[in-house]
Amino acid sequence: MDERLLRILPRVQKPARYVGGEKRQIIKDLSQTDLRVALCFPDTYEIGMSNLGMRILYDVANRAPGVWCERVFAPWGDMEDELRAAGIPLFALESGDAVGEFDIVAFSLGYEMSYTTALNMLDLAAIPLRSSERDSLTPLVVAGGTCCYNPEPMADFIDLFLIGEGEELNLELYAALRDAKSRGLSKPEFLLEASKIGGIYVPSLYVGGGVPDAPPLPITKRIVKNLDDAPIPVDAIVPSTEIVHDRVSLELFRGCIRGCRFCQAGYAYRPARERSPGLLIEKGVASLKASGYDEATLLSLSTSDYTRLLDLCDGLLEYTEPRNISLSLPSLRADNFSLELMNRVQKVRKSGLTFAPEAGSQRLRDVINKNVTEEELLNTCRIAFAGGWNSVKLYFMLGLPGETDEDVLAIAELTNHVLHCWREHARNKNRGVRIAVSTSCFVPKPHTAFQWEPQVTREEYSRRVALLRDNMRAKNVTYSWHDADTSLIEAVLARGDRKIGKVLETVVQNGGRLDAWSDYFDMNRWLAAFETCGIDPSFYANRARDYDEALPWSVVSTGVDEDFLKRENELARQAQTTPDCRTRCSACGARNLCDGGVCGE
Amino acid sequence: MTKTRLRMTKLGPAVYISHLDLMRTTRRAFTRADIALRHSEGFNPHPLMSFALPLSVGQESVCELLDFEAEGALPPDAAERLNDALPEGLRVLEIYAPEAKLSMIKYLEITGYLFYDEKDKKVSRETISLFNDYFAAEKLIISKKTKRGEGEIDIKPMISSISFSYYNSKQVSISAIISAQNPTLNPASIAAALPLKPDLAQFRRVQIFDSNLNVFR
Repeated sequence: MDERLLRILPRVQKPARYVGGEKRQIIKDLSQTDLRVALCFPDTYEIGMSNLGMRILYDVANRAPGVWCERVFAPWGDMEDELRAAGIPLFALESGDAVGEFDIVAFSLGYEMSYTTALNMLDLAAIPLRSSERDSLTPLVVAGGTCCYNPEPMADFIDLFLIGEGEELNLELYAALRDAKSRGLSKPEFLLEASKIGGIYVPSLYVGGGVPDAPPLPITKRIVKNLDDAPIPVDAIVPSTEIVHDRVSLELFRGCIRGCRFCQAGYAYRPARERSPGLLIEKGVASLKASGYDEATLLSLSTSDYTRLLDLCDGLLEYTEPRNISLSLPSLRADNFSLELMNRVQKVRKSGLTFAPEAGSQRLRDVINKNVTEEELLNTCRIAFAGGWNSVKLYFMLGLPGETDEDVLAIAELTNHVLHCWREHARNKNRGVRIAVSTSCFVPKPHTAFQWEPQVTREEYSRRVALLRDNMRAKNVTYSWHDADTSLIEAVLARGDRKIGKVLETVVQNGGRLDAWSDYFDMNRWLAAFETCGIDPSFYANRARDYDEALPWSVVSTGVDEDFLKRENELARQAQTTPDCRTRCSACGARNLCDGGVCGE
Repeated sequence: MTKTRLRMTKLGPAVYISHLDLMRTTRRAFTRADIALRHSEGFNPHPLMSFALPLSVGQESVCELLDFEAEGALPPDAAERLNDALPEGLRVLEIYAPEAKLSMIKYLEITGYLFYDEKDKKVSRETISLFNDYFAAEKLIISKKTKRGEGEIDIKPMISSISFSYYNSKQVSISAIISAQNPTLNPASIAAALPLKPDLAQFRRVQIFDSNLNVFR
């Protein structure tokens, strides 16, 4: 460890997140290593270590001979100040070596509000922010993750984007870079070669007239066709300090059969592909043994849609129950939560139930294609209350396309019905009930049916919040809402084009970073940056776009046709629903990516 | 099953693990080592294990004591298995049957270094005698933040013996036997009490004693 760090660490909060040394971190012999990867997560250790994608890619990379992949997280503000004051560049946890010495600096971009943190990490690593300011082949700055389905806001900074699932793609990139290093290729030579790998988008090839040999756009995402072939990181690092999701996470399936029209993940991860329950039970038990965790959680976009959920739960419970290990099932849908399922969740610690009806009225739920009826939700609540639950969380969005005041008030009505349901069916009323309602401001996302839709203004969102708040006065009900400022910035970044890069750079130059944290987010800094760059945020966030407008994110394809998204948008306008993929194929186009998963059923 | 005691180190990166996180980390190591711990009865059962004398973040130790109750007989290679399961810096030195209750602990032997990094700061042999004289005084009042605000306490009765020695012009070494509990003296308070404040103080717990200054087991 750097001697100077010994002086710094006693002065900062939670120093354990900066020193590594956790069980099963990977240390390799440098003489046996010819490619060094810094896997960077643009948020704190506690958030980044909870990310399943990070665990998977760390595992995949380090299994490759000659590759040493290390972790880098964003320091909290106190640590950043200390590092800057001492002149210590950002370092990787395993070796303690400066990030600038690595061959590949790879960012996981999963949330738009982490863009400034990623740029600030480059700055802390003393790596020039702009791709054009970095002449040498290495460090090669790359990015992957859900946000890269619109790569344009970060395109000036990132040498190449990895579009889609990373298990295979990352290894192909490593092999290509290793080869380029040995052949002494220049950075432009390498980037052109790398662009031939399916799923790699090199933004610099499409500037001005473009490079003649550049692959045609769009770049289609990569997927793992058979999820049973995708590695499950059983021997993962066990953090020595508490992280946000401090448990075994078992990924049941990728994609989602539902097609909620606002949901980027629901479209971008298509087609839905399941892992087999036998494999999940085997790997789940092995992960619990290898980690020593006393909690496991089942991960997916919609857990109750897993076809053999009961079998899976039974198989896992056989191991977990006698050992006091709890099993949690997030992302349950209110329409297929059964008594059988509840009995299984109940066997372990009884945490609260969370459902996301997203909209209060049936009409608006039809608009967004959230195919859950009030009856189904209340039926689920009845089962839960009768089963002894006394706490329910309900998530909604405000500002969905076509939302009226009536729809807003319907949230309060639905909440009242849930409360009434508890009064009628609660097993023990003496304990009371807690209903937590929370609303966020709808952010239209690229590659969704609502990608053309405007976001409501901050003023209008605040008005709807106030309207709802005034009508949610029941005891036992707490109402909380996300702030409008962050949602506006998120909306601008989500559907931004390459001009937004200058805004990001300006925000970072003015001290912005960790914008996902209210401790650091500063709306005035963002507004000032828009002003400086001559950018009107409402042009990106609050403007309705025509179907024939060229969309910045059309440079990449999720495999879902734009025509399908238009059809879905039109159906939304008529409040018409679309059945889920298992009921009927809607010919979205994802089937062309692979004939496995739900498309092959 | 009766209580078992183990002594372990907390060194290297593990010094930054907080007390609460140390409990979690150790509990998981037991699971990984496939040594089942007995659990408390009740609605939310928790494993029966407890560390003596929480150690401040940043301080080293070669004598952290953990009492635990295993389910069934403890495997003969338990220490080895735990060491395979523990993270860097945590290492089981011995596992034995306790000879006295943890509440019988009275004193701790600590060693450490005081660093004077800043350019204008320098220590000499005179500084050492100044320090030794300072701690020879009858009372040593320091201010201490308590829940009720700023208070003053006399730390002198909590120091059984203490000595400073010259290491180099930037470093003083310290060795002391201090009260471990009822009352507890944090070694950091000694550094804070010095007439010449160090820029960094590093401490290590080296031995635990009972009230007669016999090694506690």
